[in-house]
Amino acid sequence: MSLTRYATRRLVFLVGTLFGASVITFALVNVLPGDVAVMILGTSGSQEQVEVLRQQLGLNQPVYVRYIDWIVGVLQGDLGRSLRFGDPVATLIAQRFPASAFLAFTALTIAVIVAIPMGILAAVEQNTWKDFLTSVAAFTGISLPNFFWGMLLILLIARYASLLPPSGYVSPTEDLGEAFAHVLLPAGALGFSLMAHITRMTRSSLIEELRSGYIDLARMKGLSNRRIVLRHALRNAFLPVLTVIGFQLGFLFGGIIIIEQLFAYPGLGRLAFNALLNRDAPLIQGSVLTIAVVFMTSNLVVDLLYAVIDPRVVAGGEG
Amino acid sequence: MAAETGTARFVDEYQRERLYRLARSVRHNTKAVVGLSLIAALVVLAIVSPMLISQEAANQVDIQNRFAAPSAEHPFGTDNFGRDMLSRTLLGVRISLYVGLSSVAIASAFGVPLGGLAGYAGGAVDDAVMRTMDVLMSFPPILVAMTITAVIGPTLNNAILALGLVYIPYFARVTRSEAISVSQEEFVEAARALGERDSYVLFREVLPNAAAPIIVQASISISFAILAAAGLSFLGLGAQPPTPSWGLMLQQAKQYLTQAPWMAIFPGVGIAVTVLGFNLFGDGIRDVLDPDASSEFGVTDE
Amino acid sequence: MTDNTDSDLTDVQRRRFLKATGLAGAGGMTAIAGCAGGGSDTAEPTDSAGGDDGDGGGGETTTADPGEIQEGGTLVWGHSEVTQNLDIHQTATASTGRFLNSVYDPLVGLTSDLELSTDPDVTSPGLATDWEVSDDLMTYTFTLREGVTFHDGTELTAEDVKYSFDRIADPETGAIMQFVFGSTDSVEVEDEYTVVLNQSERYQPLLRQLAFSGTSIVPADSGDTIGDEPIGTGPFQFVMRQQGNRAELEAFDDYWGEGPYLDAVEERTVTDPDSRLTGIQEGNYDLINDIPLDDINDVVGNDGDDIDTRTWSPLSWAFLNMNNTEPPFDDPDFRKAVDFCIDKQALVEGALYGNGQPTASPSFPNSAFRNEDISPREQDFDRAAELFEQSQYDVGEFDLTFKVTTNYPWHVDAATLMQQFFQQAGLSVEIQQLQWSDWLSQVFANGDFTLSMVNFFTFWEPAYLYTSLWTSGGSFNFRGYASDEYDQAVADAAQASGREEAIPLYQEAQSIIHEDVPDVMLWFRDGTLAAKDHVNGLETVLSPNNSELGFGRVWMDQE
Repeated sequence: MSLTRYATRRLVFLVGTLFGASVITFALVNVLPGDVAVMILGTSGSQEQVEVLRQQLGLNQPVYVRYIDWIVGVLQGDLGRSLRFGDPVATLIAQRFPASAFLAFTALTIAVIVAIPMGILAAVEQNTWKDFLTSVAAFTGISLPNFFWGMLLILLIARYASLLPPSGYVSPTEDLGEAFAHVLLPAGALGFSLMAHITRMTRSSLIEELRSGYIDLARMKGLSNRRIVLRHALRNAFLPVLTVIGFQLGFLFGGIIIIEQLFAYPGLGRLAFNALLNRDAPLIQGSVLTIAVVFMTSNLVVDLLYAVIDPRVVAGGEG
Repeated sequence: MAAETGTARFVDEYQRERLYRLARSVRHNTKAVVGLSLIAALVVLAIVSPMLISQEAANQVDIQNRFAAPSAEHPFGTDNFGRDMLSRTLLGVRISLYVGLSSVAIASAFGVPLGGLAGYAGGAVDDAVMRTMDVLMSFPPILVAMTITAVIGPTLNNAILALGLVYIPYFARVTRSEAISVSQEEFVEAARALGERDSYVLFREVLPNAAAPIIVQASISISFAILAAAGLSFLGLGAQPPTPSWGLMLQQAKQYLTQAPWMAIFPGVGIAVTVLGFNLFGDGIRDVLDPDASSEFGVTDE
Repeated sequence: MTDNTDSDLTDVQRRRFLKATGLAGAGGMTAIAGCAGGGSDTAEPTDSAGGDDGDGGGGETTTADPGEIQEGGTLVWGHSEVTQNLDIHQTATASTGRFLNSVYDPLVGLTSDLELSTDPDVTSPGLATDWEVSDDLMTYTFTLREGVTFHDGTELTAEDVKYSFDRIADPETGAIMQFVFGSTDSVEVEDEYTVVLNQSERYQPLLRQLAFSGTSIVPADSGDTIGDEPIGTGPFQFVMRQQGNRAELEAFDDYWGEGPYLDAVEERTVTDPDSRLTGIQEGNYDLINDIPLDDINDVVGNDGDDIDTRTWSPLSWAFLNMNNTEPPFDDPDFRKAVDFCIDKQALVEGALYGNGQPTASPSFPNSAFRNEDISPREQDFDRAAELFEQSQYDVGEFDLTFKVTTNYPWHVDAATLMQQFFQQAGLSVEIQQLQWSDWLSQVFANGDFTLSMVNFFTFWEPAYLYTSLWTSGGSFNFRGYASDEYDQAVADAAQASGREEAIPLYQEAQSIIHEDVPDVMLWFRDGTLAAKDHVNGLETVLSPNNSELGFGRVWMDQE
């Protein structure tokens, strides 16, 4: 089957899965205990006022009616209004999305920039002390929680050395320097575990490539070692690395929530988490669904990239 | 009857042979051995520590000695309540193992049969099961776990339930891949041809052969469950005070990072060692099963 | 009417208190707020002379030499809590009060010694230049300040006062101070600047309660919009608020009083104590409230840095809640046994790092209404065991849940410590951390709890405190305490002919709850403020109620 057909099939599945995801999100959120009306009115609300507010917020209608109202709205771009902030959910998400995207992108870039050379080094210097050291570093990276790295970074770089700020956000469109200063620590923390996985995968798949037949052939032809490594082996080794990056996306998206919380970084993860704590149903629904959409889309992109690079995947159908 | 005995014996020998070969390869794989030793040491610690350290001792408040740096009396220092960090860190082993093992037990108890069924039965059953799994996997796992614990209440056991639920799809996928390939093997076809019931085939033939990759998945999932549970406790959605959970200790350590960094260091090291053990072990077995490192055997890191 | 003897007594009490708590000597002291002597209900309003209310002691508004004050600049305030409902009549949270205090004025002014006053230069000035109270406490006549403008440009008249009070009295509004007008028959506009309140019954606390920010004057007919766009007569006007993130106030040029000197105040919500402290140390904030507890001693004691501090007591008062309507806490012996389990001083040391003190009575330390005869029960496990025996329940048969909110980490710490105490006594307790929103719905609204803990701000006025917390219909009585004796004492006090009659009644109320133990009183917590040294007028920031902040007389060095 052709690439386009593959892509279309996946896209259709994506939409189907998204609907399923929306049902689950809505169900989970609306089963939340804790009365939002009481939360809004606080200690000053009387029982009658709570009832009136519930009525206004439409909390008394049956669940499926509310779901349909919501999903119809979503398809038109209206995600409702935050119960806590009063602002449209879509606006709030749009405000925070760039910050999270910037963070995720930076984290991924840092991870890849550091990890791939390390992996190459380890593979080329296989079984030397350099290799061993890289493995140790890699394993440590995946064994510590990302918020631990975060706290370590805050302690060393923000507190002791006062080099970078431990919280806050500046938009890269405003001031690129400041923006990087604020995002570097959280991105570093987020990237550490990613780094480790990518290093290991780069190393092992490169080793495998270097062992395989056509490399020997290239050597016999007289091509320099470096050229061999860089041009042939890497290209083929990249595929599994891409796979790992794809697998790490779940980690990235989950980790972003904790990291944003730790660094008081005003992104989508923090928005979703605080919405959860505040029982702000429309905001939770909207942000969770958004995160799911972005997550699924990223996975799809990775899969398509994979398919582009390795046509065998498309031919064999998907597992 | 006669056919059953005949097949059974044949299969048993075959399985035993595979197991022996597997065990031998594992013994030679450094990663697996180191990992397994770490795990064994931790298990021993988990069993022994409550006999040596009582819950009361670990929760013993001693305000006068709060924030004490590591010393002979308190090798790991004390926390903001003056509690001994060594006792608390060691007791944390039990909690981490409990979390890791129970959540994975739940996930595999549901995921493995589901996956096996899907792979073996194929067709509509396969589609239905796998679509549901896909939907479940469309969310980052931590997000789902967070939402669930927020809904049903923040306790350690609820966090375990949530994580168990979240990891089901991964076990289903692994088992399904195995089920598909194994069900095409000759001896399975033979068994079916001889009239064995489907459930018999599933449980005696398919699943045991899937055992190894499932163990790999389990090992990896345990390490992720421990990390995820630590994250949940860190956010206040898991273990509650005064439980000596490492994630909770890290949350409390955050406020006092500059004055008492040991409050964060030791629980962190605890997590690292435990997760490392399971990671190494899982990795080692994966190497043994398929030295071709780039293929994943369907085993997924989350 | 300031009585000389009373003023001496207050000074002495104040100094003793300062020494006892070790707060004397910490950099920068505001006067300990307390009800100074001197009747303020039937007396003539104090003469405004030079801005001083005659009681001596530090902390009064000192009008700075106009030559020194520099105008301009935006003060960035790192705020420890999230502001909530912005409707000044409805909001019950101290966080919002801190923010809105600079936007509104109440009718009755208050000095930092908690004397009612008409003086425009006191810490919390009121909109009345004069008032007259009939001898039977049935008629109150207020004369309004002329030439006062609201932020929307309209002039303050008696119509606005009538509207504000009617709105508060209306049960539909859900005003937190609705009970103030519980025995008010009518509010009448006599002429443009004169308002008359006619009572159906004597209500002795009325005048005091008109000094609360919850009874502030809003423009007539503004009820629908002031929750979104607060409009008042205060030195700053509301610009915007992004809840949980930041908010802005802008100087009001037509403010009727002295100042303001700043151009604007920017509130930033920084709930994490460490971030707040690092923030001010790094210059991101000019002022923060609530220095992190474990750092207070360092910050306050450090004279070498560029940060000034203010500490005072009490900022707030915390108490352990027990659900009086359910086992085992429907049994007073069981409750009293719990009281004996707790070492309150250890709690202050452990959870507050020593920045507070135990108290058996919630009344302010120097309040004339405070019952000094009761004191916190010392930890005594033998007594506790006895009382557990005596009660109808067996202490070992319960597995209780202690619901505590995460927005106050020191409450969680206190819960952890108390859990240890309970365990020693054989009572099994599990802690459950809740979000504030969940606490409101579960504990406050639905009474779904056994043990909980909460704190209270702005509790200088006894009628407000003792009525709302423990009377059978009290708006804050979520523990379900019901005592006819107590209700009677408080009702009698409200009906008293004057302060002298009311004092012993409130003291009796305190004895009753000390005996019945519906809650266990835990501590007074110290308040702290930190500001960069380019911020001046720090002594004017704290409102007399010890909780709210006012920026009307703050100015910054312009460099």
